[in-house]
Amino acid sequence: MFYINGIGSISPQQYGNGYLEKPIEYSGNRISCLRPDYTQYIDPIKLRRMSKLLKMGWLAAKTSLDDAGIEKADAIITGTGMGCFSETERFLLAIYENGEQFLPATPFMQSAHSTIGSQIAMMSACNAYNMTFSHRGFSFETALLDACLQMLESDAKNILVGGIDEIADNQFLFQKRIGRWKQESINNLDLLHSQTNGTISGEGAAYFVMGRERNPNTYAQLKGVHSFSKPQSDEQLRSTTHDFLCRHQLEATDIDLLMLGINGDGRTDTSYHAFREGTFPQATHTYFKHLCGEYPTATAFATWLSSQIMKRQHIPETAIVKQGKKPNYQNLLIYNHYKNDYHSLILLAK
Amino acid sequence: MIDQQRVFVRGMGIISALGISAEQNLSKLMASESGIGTIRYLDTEHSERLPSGEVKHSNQDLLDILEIQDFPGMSRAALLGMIAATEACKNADLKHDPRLRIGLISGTTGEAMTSVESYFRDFQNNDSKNEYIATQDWGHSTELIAKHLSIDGFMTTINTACSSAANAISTGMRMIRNGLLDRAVVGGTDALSKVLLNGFNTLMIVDSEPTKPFDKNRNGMNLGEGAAYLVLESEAITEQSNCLAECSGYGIMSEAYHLTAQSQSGDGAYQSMKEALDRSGLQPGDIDYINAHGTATINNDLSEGKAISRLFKDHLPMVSSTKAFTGHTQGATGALEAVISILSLQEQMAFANLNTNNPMDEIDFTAICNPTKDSINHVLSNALGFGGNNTSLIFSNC
Repeated sequence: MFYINGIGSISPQQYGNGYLEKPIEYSGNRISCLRPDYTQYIDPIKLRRMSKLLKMGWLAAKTSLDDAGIEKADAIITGTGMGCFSETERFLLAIYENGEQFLPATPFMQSAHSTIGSQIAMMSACNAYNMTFSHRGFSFETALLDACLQMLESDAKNILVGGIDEIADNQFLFQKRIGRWKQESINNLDLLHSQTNGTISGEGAAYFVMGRERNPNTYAQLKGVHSFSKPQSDEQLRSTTHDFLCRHQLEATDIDLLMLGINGDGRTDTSYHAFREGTFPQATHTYFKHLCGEYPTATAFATWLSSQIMKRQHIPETAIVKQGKKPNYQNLLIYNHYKNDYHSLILLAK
Repeated sequence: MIDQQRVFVRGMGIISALGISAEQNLSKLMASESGIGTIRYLDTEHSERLPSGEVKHSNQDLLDILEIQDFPGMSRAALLGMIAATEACKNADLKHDPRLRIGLISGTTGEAMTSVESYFRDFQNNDSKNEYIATQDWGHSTELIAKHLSIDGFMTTINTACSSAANAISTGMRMIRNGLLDRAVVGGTDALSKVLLNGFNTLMIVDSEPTKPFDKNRNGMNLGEGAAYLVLESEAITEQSNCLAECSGYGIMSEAYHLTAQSQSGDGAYQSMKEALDRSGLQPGDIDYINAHGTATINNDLSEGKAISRLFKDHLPMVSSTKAFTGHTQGATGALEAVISILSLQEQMAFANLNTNNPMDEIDFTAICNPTKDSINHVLSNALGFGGNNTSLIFSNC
């Protein structure tokens, strides 16, 4: 059995573990993480040398470690779709400006994705297994899978596992060029009802302390994670989901709460609607991307929100798409796809 | 704890500055002929000044070798990867069985760089290279390789800088050991890029002469490019008589010392090697040859050399770094050196550490200067990355 025993996140809505009673409204089609006063969390000398992403990663990781009541983990596993690409961009721009001479070292030093995990390891003095997965919309899911593998094969007690992404300035513009974002400016809280083409860009970091033992701080049990490429039909999606639930001795009617990756893109949200209406008529349907925006590891934010819901047995009003009939939430299923190519299911239990 | 499966290598493939295929690489290794030279294909101001291990074929040559047409989103790293992975699968002569769970796990650290640095201005200014926009990420080459090999099962990409491919191999091993996969194609690919060449050069760890690993006067690395893949299988499905080697151990240890450097004491490399030995049930004296990371930077060779000296004490095996043959192939290096380690088991030969004339004083061994025939049953290969992301792998005769 795998349990989520500590959580921490930074998103466009919150940092630390603040809840979402009053969601923050944004207009436009790009929402960014809040910018806390990092001097509260990080020695100013270190802070000066850290990129935005490294700060986000440390804040989420440290919140999660504190929440679990531990100083350091026995393994650190990170999933990131775009990693430290904004540092690569900075370095590349310097090449364009200066030619291939007299270039700044810091952006290059921080351009390897593994610096996110290395920074957390350095700041928590964690000499242990440290891994970074970077495969588009499967990055966080694979990190979770690897965390389970660690718990199966090693005596590591506490595994720190997370998903983290930011969007680099130029990348936002490039993705816009290929129709990734909505043309019109919308209010993020209206995302559910916006069914034009494109979505809103987001970012965030969420880390979790996982272990084999339940404790008083436990949020939820992680029962399973499954990632798969684009299903050929709604029918195939249903059967994939059915098989996944079967492996965990569950049926669709056992799911009390659905957390869906609806991102307001009329071209690809149809699969969520077919999925929820057809298969889970009884469950409460929720969504999350109006809060965090779309990014490759948005499922890490969904897992953070789901963990909160399972522990509190309460859903923030803003997340509800359709209120179900069940009085409490025993089983929660996250279904997400990234660009309709990378689909995943994450199953949590109370 | 579940019953753990033993993991075997059924096939391997490699492309490097030494050539295409394990056979071509082996002949250069046995003859101590380096592949390092002037950069011909990467567009850089440093082409004459920084000798590198560039693969001696243009992208068009690579497409011709693969017998495919140029396509939108084509990347050099993907082409290199497709060539090496195809050789690995061919060489394994695999049974097709739809019941098998087959995965592809690839390591890369520079994948997004080649398209972003070639087309950044177009992305900014016009629509002419739009089909490349969505390819600027790390999963791109993995996806193209999977498509080329018709693998549609589990797929992931690891980016832990210089240990990326070694970690792809260890992840494949772990998934098979624990029964999550039956077969895995594992390895890595990286092409030379302006960003990485300049990045390392900015850190002042690129030598303008041929690299001299473990030499007193070493002055940094020569960068390289290439790809290598192994086909791993569980003992349950493999034919052991057709296996090239057994993956007997791995150790992974983040040193958490500095974002780019390793500690002078070499604690991280010591721990990853020790963990690999412990996991394989071997003693230091059982290792016959170490294919060291040996990048020829002041920092790496001191740190790794001290770690080897300390762990192997009275049982120091033959040690060499083959970076002077291939250059430092970035994220792919762990896979190239895994193939070289297996060649060493097959040929019962440790390959030379080229260009080294003045042994370092701080360490207890002298890297071997000539290819050396000996009885070789267990080879340890190190990949030590940025941020002290250290991985050690052990391959054994089966």
